[in-house]
Amino acid sequence: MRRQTGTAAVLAVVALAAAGCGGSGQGGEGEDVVLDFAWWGDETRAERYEQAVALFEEQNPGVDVRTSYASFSDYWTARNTEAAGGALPDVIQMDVAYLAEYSLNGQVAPLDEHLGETIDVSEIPESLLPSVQVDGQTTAIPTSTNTLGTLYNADTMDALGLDIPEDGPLSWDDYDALLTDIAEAGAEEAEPVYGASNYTTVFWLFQIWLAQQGKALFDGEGGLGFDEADLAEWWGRAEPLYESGAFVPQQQLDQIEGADAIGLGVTASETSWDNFLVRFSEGAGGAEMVMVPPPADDPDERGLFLKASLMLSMASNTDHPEEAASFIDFIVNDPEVGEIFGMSRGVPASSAALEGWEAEGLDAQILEYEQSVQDYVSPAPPPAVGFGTMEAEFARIAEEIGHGAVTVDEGVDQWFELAEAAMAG
Amino acid sequence: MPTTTAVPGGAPPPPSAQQLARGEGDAPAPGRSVRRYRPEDTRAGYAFVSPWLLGFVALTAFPMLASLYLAFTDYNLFRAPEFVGLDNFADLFTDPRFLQSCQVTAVYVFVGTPIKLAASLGAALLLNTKHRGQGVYRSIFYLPSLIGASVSIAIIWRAMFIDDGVVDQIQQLVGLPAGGWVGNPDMTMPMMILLAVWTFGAPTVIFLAGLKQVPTELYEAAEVDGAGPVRRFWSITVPMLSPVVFFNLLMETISAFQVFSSAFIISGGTGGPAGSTLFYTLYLYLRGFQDFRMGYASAMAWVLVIVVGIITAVLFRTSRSWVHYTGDVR
Repeated sequence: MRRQTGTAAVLAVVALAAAGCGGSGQGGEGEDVVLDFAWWGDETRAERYEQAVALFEEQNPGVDVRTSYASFSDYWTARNTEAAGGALPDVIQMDVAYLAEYSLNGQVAPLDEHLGETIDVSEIPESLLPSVQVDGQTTAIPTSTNTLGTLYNADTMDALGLDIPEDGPLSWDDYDALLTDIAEAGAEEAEPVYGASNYTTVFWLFQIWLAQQGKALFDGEGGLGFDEADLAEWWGRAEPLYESGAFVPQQQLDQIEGADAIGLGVTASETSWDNFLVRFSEGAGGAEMVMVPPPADDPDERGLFLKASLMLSMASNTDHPEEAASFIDFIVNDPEVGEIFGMSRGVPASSAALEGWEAEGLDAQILEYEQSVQDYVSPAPPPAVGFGTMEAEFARIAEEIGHGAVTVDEGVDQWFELAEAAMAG
Repeated sequence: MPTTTAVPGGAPPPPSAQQLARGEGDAPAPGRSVRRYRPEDTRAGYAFVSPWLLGFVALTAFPMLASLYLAFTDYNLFRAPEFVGLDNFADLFTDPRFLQSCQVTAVYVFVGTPIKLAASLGAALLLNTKHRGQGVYRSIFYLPSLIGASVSIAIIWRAMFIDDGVVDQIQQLVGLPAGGWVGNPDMTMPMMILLAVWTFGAPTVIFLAGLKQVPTELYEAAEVDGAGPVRRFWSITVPMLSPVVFFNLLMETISAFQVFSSAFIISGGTGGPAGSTLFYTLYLYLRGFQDFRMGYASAMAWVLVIVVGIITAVLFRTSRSWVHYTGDVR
């Protein structure tokens, strides 16, 4: 008899332990609604989100927002795993690279029923909406827009006795020649300065280069808008620049982790997202940066686009769609949130978020830049299945070419093979 | 990560404690009073193992079976798996990155493991001599193993071998071509092997235990017969130690196939530069969790299980000719 009691006791303990694992986040009547919100970014963004969330909770008693964040790639690893288990946080930060997959597979909810009700989109330019729509349904709301710009480290350029070309875009060949000049002058410094890191690794810059020739990354019908020859020509630009020393050797670049070459003063120029101006300026170099439009052979065909960025989506598994929608609306439109973030996310997509405060310093520089190129922007590439993989593989293969591990032609073949598999899903 | 939990399934049971002790313990004599079988004993037994059993079934057995099924499907985490037969396995052998990951892992296993075993045997021999403060030395030599598999060591390793890191500075001092190892595709493998060799504490402790078990009479007898230290090492230590060598060889080979965290951290999760640290498990992870090709990743996991299984079987077969157990009738 005693033995059986023991058996029962052990089983009871096991059962309790198992129950404990299950957990339960379900609040009863009258309890706070808990919204989980996940995003990618760094610590400075964390501080800003914390302030914004505190403000939201103050204005919405009874709603409790729990946040978590990670770096971009870790963020997507975690979300993908959660998506597979149907346990996504209620609100997630979304990128155009993943929007199509998440929307087509029903992981994020269509927001159309909330538009004009809980979520105000009247202050968001209509030209941005195609980038957040998949199959005619709106599945994300952009908090901001950004575009690419070519940045120069003004202090380095000054020290090397070189001028920053501020009158309109350089042609691609002139830009390459300038990078070579920088490297020649910079080779005599104690810590050699290079022109730039390999810009052919940037998938989005490839889009700009294609658009300048009337092509695009995607043909809008589920296929690619360019062929092997285009990619070979693009990646082929890198080789002479490595030879002349204009590009930082890939070997050195691989060792700068979590920092930016231009921020450290290793390079004098980079082509990157305009909101990165903040990050580069506040990097270890701490230099003054000047931002001008990316190269273009024909100044009227810039190929620029405004990318809807740092979007917010609602998980379709959320228990609190109303609260989630009002949280999205708050982060997108509230002017106080706009002021907290400044231009660190890019320029706010909603002009409502710009009201009542003045952009200063770096923020003003970003705003000014984005306004200066506004007449030249064409529509951004739409969300496409496999975009995230294509972008990651594009950078990886371009880097391997930089290492000399594969030739341009081998790399092009590899990328097309991977891209076709990624588009198939 | 369920896909990698599949891997330990390839491990054979290690040689029993009795084999390790070279058959010294005889089978226990049967008790004088044999108790009658009682069913409630069985029940209590199952109740007591149930926490482990639940964990095993839910966290090991089920994920392994699931990954076996997924290996034959096209599964991207979002949509239901779609059966594709052997397609994943066929794709593997035309995938240049898969072949590269095999090559990287093979070099690491077949070069790194022997070096690590030689280093740990050497350390064990040194630690087996009689010196004052030997206990302190033993602790110090074991120390790296306590922290070796951890994330922090990989981060420190990266910092040491980077441009202008400690290693680079020493190279500059002695006039060797300067440059960090981390960004140089030719130097990352030596760096990874060094990291593995440096954490030789676990096999060293096992070697040391083995050395302690060698009867001193054998050495004394050999000495009387005029055998020098080298002869004594090859004719007594090595054969007497061969079961321990075999055990260490198996364990280190299997764990070398599964190296992941150090490569993940040192390459920033990419397997770079130029794929030179693209270890098998790292590529498996990238395929599964970055490209969402879970079916493909599962197929990779099972190929690894099979390969490790074959290598283990081969080792066992060859062991008959070089592993000596005392008491064997030969």
